[in-house]
Amino acid sequence: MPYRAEISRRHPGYFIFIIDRSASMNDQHGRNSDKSKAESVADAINRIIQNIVIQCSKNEGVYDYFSVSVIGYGSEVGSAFSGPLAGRPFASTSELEANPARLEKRKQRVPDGAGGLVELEVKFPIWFDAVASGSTPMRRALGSAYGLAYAWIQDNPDGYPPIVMNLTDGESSDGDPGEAARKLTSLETSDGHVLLFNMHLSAEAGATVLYPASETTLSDPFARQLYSISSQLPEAMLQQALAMELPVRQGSRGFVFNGDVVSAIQFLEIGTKPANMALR
Amino acid sequence: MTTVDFVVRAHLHSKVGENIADCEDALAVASQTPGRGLRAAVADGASSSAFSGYWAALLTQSFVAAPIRTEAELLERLPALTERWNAHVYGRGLPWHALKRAKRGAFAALAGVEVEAGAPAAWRGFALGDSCVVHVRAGAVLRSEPIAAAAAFANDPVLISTDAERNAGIEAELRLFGGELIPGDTLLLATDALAQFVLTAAEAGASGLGKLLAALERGDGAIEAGRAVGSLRNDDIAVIVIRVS
Repeated sequence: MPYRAEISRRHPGYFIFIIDRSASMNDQHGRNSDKSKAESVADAINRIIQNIVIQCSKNEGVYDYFSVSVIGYGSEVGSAFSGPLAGRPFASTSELEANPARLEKRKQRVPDGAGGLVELEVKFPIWFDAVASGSTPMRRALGSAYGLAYAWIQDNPDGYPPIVMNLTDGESSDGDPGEAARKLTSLETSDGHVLLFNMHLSAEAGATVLYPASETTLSDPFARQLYSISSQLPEAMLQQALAMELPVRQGSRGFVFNGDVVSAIQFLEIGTKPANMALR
Repeated sequence: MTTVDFVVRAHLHSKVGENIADCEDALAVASQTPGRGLRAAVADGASSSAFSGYWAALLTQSFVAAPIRTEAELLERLPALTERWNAHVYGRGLPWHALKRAKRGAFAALAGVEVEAGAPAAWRGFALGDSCVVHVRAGAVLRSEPIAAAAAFANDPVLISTDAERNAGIEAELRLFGGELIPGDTLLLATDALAQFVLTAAEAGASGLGKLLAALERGDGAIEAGRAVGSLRNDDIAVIVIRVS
């Protein structure tokens, strides 16, 4: 059965994030937001990488269950890590843990155990900064992801297939990304084809759409285009997403419109997930 | 009073490619006064939770020190164990990722038995989660708790948590059982991967099960062989074989 390969230190998984850094990402993200789309995306990517590291946290250390690439596309296409990892095509989870660009202090309100809330200062690691300039060469970015995934598969022919997540405001400036996406998702390990998920951020205050199984709820033409190049969720991920009470069904694709994608990385199972362990 | 003797073999195996120090399964065996039976337990710390190996070890040690015979005994036991887990985990200045993971708590399955030494020997069992107790007589499975068929293992069992909120209602998942042992019987305690492997062998026929139990008692490569051909999942394993002689 595909998409069942073990993810372990011997057989790590691979995430490739490709991030739109074009000038249009400077636009406000939704009418009620004080953040630009670029800032929202940077926040999402940092939270996703943080969650990946937490998934790999074992006692006091971090196991290399995953490799991660972050490719930016705007005025240039290439590695988009900030800090010590700048320029690196990929990093293992232990390298990510050891090398954030910085640790920002943020306030978080948590239950105080007596029915109230208490404000705590927490450390929030940053690996990726908001940048917005130039056009939207999505085809080139997908081509770059193809090169990375191809090389990884040569080394890991039986591994869990690479998962590529594209975060964008939707409008490719170097032509229809469909062919580049098909080429990318035609790559495969013995466990299945490369998966391509898309997160579309719109300046419009449109309703959030999570993992749709058809394009009928999408009015934006770029959203429909991104939906069309998004992979269907494999059965194991679908079951995991159902357990997380996400609105998925048979045929759901890895596509999110103006919504949270941080949950998506939790679709991957590393070992047993207790039924009474609510994800927080 | 006539009594029976027990041959007990217990071993832990980490996943292939991992060190035994990384093993998140645990086991404990305590013999009572000679001629008075024994207690044994295995536990499986969920790899998606934090410091679950330590939690699994606490649960097995607690069980053999004082067995759990009722739902109330389980629930009464947990706060003190959680306190010990908290002291172990939070007393060490954790890095940010470990702290976030620790806040989600640890989870583990637990299965244990207490066996008296009379003849026939009465035994009682306890299981919560997907670690199993398998009673084998004359080459066949007489009873397997809490899971009776190889196909019935899922990846999302309800487990015992360090977080009281996550333990709400777990007593409904607790299985209490027991029986009698006669010479030649075997009680096998195993965490999920091996329990599934053993039930698969039992479903294929008596000779396979007998050979597997003998190999597990000798500890001479049954686990490595099963993993090599892919019929035994690459998972941590805790196993205790108790044979009545």
